[in-house]
Amino acid sequence: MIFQSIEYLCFLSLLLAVYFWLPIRGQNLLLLAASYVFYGWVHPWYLILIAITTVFDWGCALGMDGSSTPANRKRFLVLSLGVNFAVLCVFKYFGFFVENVSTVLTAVHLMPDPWIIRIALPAGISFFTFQSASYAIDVYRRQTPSCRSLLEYATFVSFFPQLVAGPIERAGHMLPQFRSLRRPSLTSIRSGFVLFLWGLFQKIVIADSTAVLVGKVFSIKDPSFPVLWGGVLAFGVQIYADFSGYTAMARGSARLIGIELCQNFNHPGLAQSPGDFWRRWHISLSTWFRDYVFIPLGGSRSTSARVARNLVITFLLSGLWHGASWNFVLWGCFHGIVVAAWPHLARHLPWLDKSGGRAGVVLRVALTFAIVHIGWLMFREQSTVMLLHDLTLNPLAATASDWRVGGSIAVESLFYGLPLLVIFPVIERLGALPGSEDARMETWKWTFFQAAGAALIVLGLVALRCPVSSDFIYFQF
Amino acid sequence: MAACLVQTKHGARRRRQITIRSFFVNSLGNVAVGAKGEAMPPARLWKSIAQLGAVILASLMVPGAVCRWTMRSGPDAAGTPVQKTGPSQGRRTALIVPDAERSKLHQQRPDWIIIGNSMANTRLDNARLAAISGRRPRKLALGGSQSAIWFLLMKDIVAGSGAKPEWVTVFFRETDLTWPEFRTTGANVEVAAAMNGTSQPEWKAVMEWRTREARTGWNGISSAASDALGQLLEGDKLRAWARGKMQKTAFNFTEFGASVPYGLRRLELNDTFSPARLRHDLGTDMAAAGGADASWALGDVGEYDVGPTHFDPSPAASFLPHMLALAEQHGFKLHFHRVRRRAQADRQTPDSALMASYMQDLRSWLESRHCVLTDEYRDASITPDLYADGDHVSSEPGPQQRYMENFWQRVRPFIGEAAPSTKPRRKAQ
Repeated sequence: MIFQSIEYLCFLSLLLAVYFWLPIRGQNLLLLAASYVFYGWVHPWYLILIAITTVFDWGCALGMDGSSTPANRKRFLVLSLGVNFAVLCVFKYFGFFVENVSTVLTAVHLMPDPWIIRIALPAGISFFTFQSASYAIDVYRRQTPSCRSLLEYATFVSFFPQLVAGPIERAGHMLPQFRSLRRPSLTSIRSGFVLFLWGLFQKIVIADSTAVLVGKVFSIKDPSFPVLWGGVLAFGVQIYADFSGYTAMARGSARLIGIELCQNFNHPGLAQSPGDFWRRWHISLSTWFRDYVFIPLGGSRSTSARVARNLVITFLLSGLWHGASWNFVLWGCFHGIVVAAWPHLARHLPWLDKSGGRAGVVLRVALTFAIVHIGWLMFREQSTVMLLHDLTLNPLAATASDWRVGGSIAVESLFYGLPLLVIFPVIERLGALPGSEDARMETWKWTFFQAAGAALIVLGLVALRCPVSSDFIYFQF
Repeated sequence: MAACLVQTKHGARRRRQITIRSFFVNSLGNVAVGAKGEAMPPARLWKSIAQLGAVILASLMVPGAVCRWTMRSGPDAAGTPVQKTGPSQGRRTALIVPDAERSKLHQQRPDWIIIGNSMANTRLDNARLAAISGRRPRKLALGGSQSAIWFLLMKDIVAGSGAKPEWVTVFFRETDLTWPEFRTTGANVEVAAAMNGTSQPEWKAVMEWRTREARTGWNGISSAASDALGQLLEGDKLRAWARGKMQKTAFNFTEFGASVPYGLRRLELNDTFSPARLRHDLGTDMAAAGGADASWALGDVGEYDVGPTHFDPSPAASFLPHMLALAEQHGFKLHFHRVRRRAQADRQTPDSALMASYMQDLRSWLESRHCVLTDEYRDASITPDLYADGDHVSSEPGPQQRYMENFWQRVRPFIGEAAPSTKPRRKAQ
């Protein structure tokens, strides 16, 4: 089931009609059942996988807590992580691995033809395995107590708003919420409703409209320089709206249910360095890699060469997390290198590092924007041959017609992205979007703002909705 | 009512009878709390409920009112007139008014009526085709229409006018004829309403059959919700205007000093993303997808969607059998003409195996019922220079004349010269 469907609206309405009447255990049971219906809506066999890993991780965590020696605790941790990452490897990376090994063997004439193995990738597998892995590590580190109730743990792992594309939640944040009766206030329900609408707008107006432009550009074999980069700009808008839209709908749905999810985006378009970008983009994944990969590798408290190595490894793994393909590996490496190199460059170019006043800020934002978009080209262009071709395009070889077409793609995608890139950050900076717990929400003045905002969003949805719907990009991860 | 365990304020659980009242009181009690979970006094509670209601109502009513206003304003506010898209580049030309069309047909007495959408509109011109063929052709083509509307045109206007043409030709692409629900929304709702479409027994029979799965069980709930939302927020006209404006403004921003006409800009776009420039793997995928040209992969699904690829001749499945019944009842012969999509310089996307089989089945079925099917899909003489944008042939005299001469050569063997007895009536003074 997908958020931007009538089915989901009916599903959520039916759930809410019953949910608030139930006691804690009933609420959890209903949420678990609803999550399994949501996840198994199209492919019921997905449920087997999630159910098995859930029970296994829950048992391992209990085993860790019950272990008398550190060695036994470690064994349970390794077992839990081993199963999680084995599942991920089989479904996500096995085909990629076999394909590449057999290609090498074919090249050295040890195999007649390369093998191609296609294994169906269950939606959201990278998200829920990482969530389970973080739980196992946190229990091992004694940062969070193990969950005694299988129902609570299963509800945490499969919680439908964030199951398929995050945010990747931590047990310490979510489990306590499942242990108490959810009694969201009416103002919180109001803000959840508006948040959901805003996410819907991002998806079916901004992301879907730009997806059509991006699809066109990345379908042609010989794009000119302006057409290609117009398409890359459109992709930047698309992926942000697509993912941020999903997150907003997830957070809005969860808020209606009385669960608060973490923030996953903080205006990444305003980032002033590649490192800053990663503190604002897909925050739940960035912090996961920071806490469970970068810091254990040594973090930033080491020599600059080691820090650079740690960064490149972390980003490389982050790239690989996104997909089993060389373009994601390249994308991860690229970001690792620029994040590692930025502080060194800043020593020679002071404007890169918090100086130069407003002009400096504009320059840093523009440069980061450009770097991120070079990365998006690597992310979107799955063929490495085409990627090399794209990176060597000559702007001087483009005709006036190419510039007009490329320009119109870029401008149209910026028009669509305007609410996301400019209007929304400004509104938020002005304080016009208070959080759900803000006391101002109870005044008629803010109700009026919220009603006007909701009406405008729905009007935008009706007037600008793209007739062609596309899947969420992050569903494939 | 059923009994169930409920949680009290103090966390204790007890068995309690569920009534509708207790259900709402409990549900409300669980959400009627302040920001910190504290119980709310009645005044504050009612204020909160009113505020939530205001936000939900505003989000539905304000856009609903705007949609209604935009749908009612404009030339089609009077009800019956329906806008007809022009020959190319999205130009608007005349209005079609069912009463007026019937009256015109009655007076002109054409012996050959051609029904279709912009494919027919851009390819044919009444006067030039008359000069080439020596017949009295009359085009009845509505831009953006599809088989459901073509059936209504045939029934309500052609048959309803009493014009008694000898031939009726229907221009179509791929599976249009057996895809009745395609393009029956948006502006076509008004077109159908103008011809009393939804109250026609054939319409009810076909549409109810086609949507039977969507109207039962869970699908029934979601489709009812979808219909209700669609009625409340009917924004096709607003959407067409807003999205078109957005694209045109983006075009204007990027003229870079040169004043390039909008039509030429569309051509530039079409050339940049033409199927000939498609990546090899996508081209193969497209051919396998069902025979539509590669533009389908480029996101123009509205224009190039393929529809069902298995030919189903049952009367419940499409309007095609009903068109044949009408023809028999009113004594005209039916001819169906499949148009060639935008041709490329070096190749034409071949029909997939599924599409080829569909066309074969369609041909056999039509011919067994004394209808004629012509197919220009692989006609190499229809060259790229004939086309304007998309699958539209240029309506300029040169290309259109060439197209019509070719078309006439194809249909002449069976349509032939006009029978001497059928002459137009003189207009009443």
